[in-house]
Amino acid sequence: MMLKNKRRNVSLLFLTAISLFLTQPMAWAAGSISGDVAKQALNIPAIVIFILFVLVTLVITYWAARKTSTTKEFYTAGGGIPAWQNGVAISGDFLSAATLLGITSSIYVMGVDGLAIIAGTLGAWPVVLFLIAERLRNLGRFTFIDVVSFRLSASKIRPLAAVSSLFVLVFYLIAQLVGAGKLVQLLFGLDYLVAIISVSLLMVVYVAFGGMLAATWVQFIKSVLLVAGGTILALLLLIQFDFDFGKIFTSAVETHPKGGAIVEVGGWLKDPLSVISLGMTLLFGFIGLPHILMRLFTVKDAAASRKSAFYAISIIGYFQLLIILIGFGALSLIMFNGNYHDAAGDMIGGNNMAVLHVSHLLGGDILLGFIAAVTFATILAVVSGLTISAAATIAHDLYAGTFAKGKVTEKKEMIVSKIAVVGTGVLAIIMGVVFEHQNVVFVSNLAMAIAASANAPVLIMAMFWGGLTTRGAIAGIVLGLASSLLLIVLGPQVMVEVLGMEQAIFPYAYPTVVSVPLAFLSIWYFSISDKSESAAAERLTYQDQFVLSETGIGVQDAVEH
Amino acid sequence: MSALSLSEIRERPAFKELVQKRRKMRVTMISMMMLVFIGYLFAWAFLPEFVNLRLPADSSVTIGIWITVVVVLVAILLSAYYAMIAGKQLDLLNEKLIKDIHHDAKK
Repeated sequence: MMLKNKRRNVSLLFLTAISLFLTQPMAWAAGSISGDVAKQALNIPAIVIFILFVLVTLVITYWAARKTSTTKEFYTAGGGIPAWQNGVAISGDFLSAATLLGITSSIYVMGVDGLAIIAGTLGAWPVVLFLIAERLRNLGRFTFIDVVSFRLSASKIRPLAAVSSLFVLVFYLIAQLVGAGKLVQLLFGLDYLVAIISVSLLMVVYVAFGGMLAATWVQFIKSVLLVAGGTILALLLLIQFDFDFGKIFTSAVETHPKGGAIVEVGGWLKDPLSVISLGMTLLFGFIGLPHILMRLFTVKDAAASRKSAFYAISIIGYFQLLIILIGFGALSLIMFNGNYHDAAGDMIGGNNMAVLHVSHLLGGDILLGFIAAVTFATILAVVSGLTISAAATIAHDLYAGTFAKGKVTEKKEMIVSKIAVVGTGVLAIIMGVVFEHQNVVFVSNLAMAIAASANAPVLIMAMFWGGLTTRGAIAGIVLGLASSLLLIVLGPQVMVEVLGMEQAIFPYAYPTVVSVPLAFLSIWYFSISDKSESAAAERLTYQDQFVLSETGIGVQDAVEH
Repeated sequence: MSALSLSEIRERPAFKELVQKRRKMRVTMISMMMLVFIGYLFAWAFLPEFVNLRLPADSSVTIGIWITVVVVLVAILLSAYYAMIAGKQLDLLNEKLIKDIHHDAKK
């Protein structure tokens, strides 16, 4: 019984790690994200480097603001971002503080089992590329909802899809911000509230003035810094181990009390349903993230969109390989180092700090400051990406597309989108304060589950299935959204972790194993059983959509209109 | 672009060829990636003895570590092939098709 419980906890930890990695709040191991953290001493190099980053990005925002006057420029930087640069920015959306801190710490704690998350991400990404990158670019203008409502009744689909999209973005934002506040306490010795307000303020400034162009540059610079930081760390580590990869693992095995078990798989993924659940979450979760999908519209055509996805995969892959080294390196160097543990033997700041301690060990205060600053920059870049996506959803899909039925002037839509940006900032601060002492793990899982269940199935079906009708799409979004919300609340993360009950009604941390098939089935069933005239007309227009989605004809007209 | 001309494009042999080639490419690439992805997860779940084997035998590096690296590399290579090589050929077909359409439209 004990054993069984333990096993469940391990798998729960894992799913949590995955979701945090995806939705990227920083603290994976319960430590810093679920509880309060102690404020650290002021870290001067970190603050100096971070201020430099902020100054540079503000200058860029000023420059971007002068090139951003139309909605097209605001939402997608005019579609003029080069593919390679967009690729770096997409990788930035992924390479989060959680990749650096969370995955490293999961390797630190569990050894080789942490690698499954890395392989899972890299396995899911190319499928996204092969399946959707090109068609999405050919059919949409600003948001993935453009594609979903392409041949369906836009006035019905847009508001619904916008709501589920906003759910994802807002939950994601909360998880980010709460994590950011705690991280800043740890890294910079600043107050939680100061951190939340400064992150929200900067994000509003970037996006309100510089739009997508500024958001892309912020993401780009941060991504370059992060990859550079990871490379330096890995190099210093390899120098420490005489450039012998094997030595890192040998040393980790010798250091860790579990010995050889640290490079062996543990008790994770023991039943087929867990395997399916993991695969589905990774795969469909990625396909349903609005802010990532939106990036595919910032380049000039389908070919560029495809290429940017490839650049992103390469950078993500390279970074993940570095993380394997850094994780095991941290394990062998930090574990019993008295400088980084308190009297009780716990790591100072929690296990998520492993990578920061390793930076300090290898490169002193300067490298520690650099990595800490990059981590903060990462949060800032990710929340900016979320904000531009939320603004586009509110102004383009809800305001212009639904309430005003497309009859709005460019100027008016721009004003609404800027109000939406400011509103998102205010909401972010409020939510940050409300959730300060909460365990936000389930919030980030919610974001991922809704993305996978409410957004991804309908998007895939809209692009690839001619039989889809408005009724089917509505059913898919509503059921996907409702079932993922419900099952998370009934699942172990809310019932056991938050409410403290013995047993959860729904046994899996991830609802995707139920909610994704349910969404697909309901889309299918409510489409084929739809005998209305409008449904027949919608089925017919798939033929036209098919031609447009394959050739990209009319992309220009669509964009300029 | 009117509905009429779109249905005309749909009937063109060049369009049909493009669509067929692209579909074949997509299906092949997705199956290959899914095979690797699913294979990896299942090995992790059901073949722990294999995943825990040391390679080389006297080291601490397990098959699990190697196959993780392999999945990362396969993902990058497949994407590279799709985005840069296969995609480029399909782009050429696509461009030619669009050029022909514009040409015929002028007539």
